[in-house]
Amino acid sequence: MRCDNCGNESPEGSRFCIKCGKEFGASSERITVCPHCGVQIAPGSLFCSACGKSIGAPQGEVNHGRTSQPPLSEPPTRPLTSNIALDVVLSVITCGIYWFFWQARQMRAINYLLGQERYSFWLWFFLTLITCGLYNIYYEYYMAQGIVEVQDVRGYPRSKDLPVLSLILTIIGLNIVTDAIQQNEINKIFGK
Amino acid sequence: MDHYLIPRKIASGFAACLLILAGMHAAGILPAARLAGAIPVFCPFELLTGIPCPGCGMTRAVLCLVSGNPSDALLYNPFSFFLLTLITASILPRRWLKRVPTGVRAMLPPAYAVILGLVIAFWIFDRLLPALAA
Repeated sequence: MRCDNCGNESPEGSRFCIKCGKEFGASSERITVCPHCGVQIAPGSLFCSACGKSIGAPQGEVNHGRTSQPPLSEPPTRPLTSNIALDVVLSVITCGIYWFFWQARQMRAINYLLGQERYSFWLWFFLTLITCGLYNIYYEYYMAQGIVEVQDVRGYPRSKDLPVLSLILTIIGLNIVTDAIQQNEINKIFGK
Repeated sequence: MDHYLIPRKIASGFAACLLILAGMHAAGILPAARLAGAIPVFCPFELLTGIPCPGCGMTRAVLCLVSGNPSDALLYNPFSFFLLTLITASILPRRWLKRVPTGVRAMLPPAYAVILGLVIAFWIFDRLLPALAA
C-alpha cells in the first residue's frame, strides 16, 4: 500500500508507513462530509466546496471525540423545514388537525438527519390516541432527545435543556410551544 | 452554555399574542373574564377519566391573566405564571442574565428539574388525590 504523505510503498496491512511513519487511514478519520449541508468533501478541507461554510470550527459545546459524520441520504422530495408562525397559526385555526401533519414532518426531518427510521407517525398516532394524549408527553421528550443527538452528531451547539423543558411544557398542556421550539432547532440544523 | 430558554423569536411571537389578547380585552372586544368562566372541558384526559390533567385550566388562566386578574389565574393553573416568567426571561436581552449574581446563577441549572418535580407534585396532590377521594 502506498503512503499519501511520502508516496513510499509499505507492506499490505501496515498501520504506519515504513518510511515516514505516517498512520495509514488517518485521513479517513477526518471530516469527509460537510456538517452544514451534508455534501461529500475532500478530506482535510477547511471550507465546504458546496456551501462555503467553515468545517473546522463548530461553535459552542460539541462532541470533541467524533469528527466524521454519517453521510446524508438523498433528501426526501417533501419539505422538512417550515415556517413556525404559520405552523402554530394553522394548528390553532384547524383545532389541531394540522398539528398532526406538522408532527409527521418533524418525524421525517429527524429520521432523515439521524439516517434511521426512529420515529413512526402511525405508532405515535395510535399510542397518543389510546392513552388520551399521555403518550405524547413522553414522545415530545423522546423527540427532543433525538434533536440533541442530531446536534451532537452534526457538530451544532447542543440544547441540553431541551428534553426537560419539552417535558414540562407538554405536561402543562403547552404542546404547541414545545413543537415551536423543536421546529426552531430543526430549522437551525437545516440552516434556515 | 447558557441555560436554555425559549428561542427569542418564538417567545416574542407568543408574547405578542398575549398582548393582542390583552389589548382586545382592554378595547372591550374580548369578554375574557366571562369567557374564562364559560369554557367547556375539552381536555381528552379529563373527558375520559374525570381527573383534570396538570395542564387543565391553562386557557382559563391565560384569559384571567390578559384580563388583569392574576389571583384567579393562580387558582385555575399556577403554572401560567411559570409560562409568563419563561416568556419574559426569553425576551430580555441575554446580557441582563449575565448581571444576575453568580450565587443565584449557580442555582439555575437544576431549575427545570425542580419545576418538573413541582408540576408532578401539584398534579398528584392538588388534582389526582382530591379527584380520587371525591
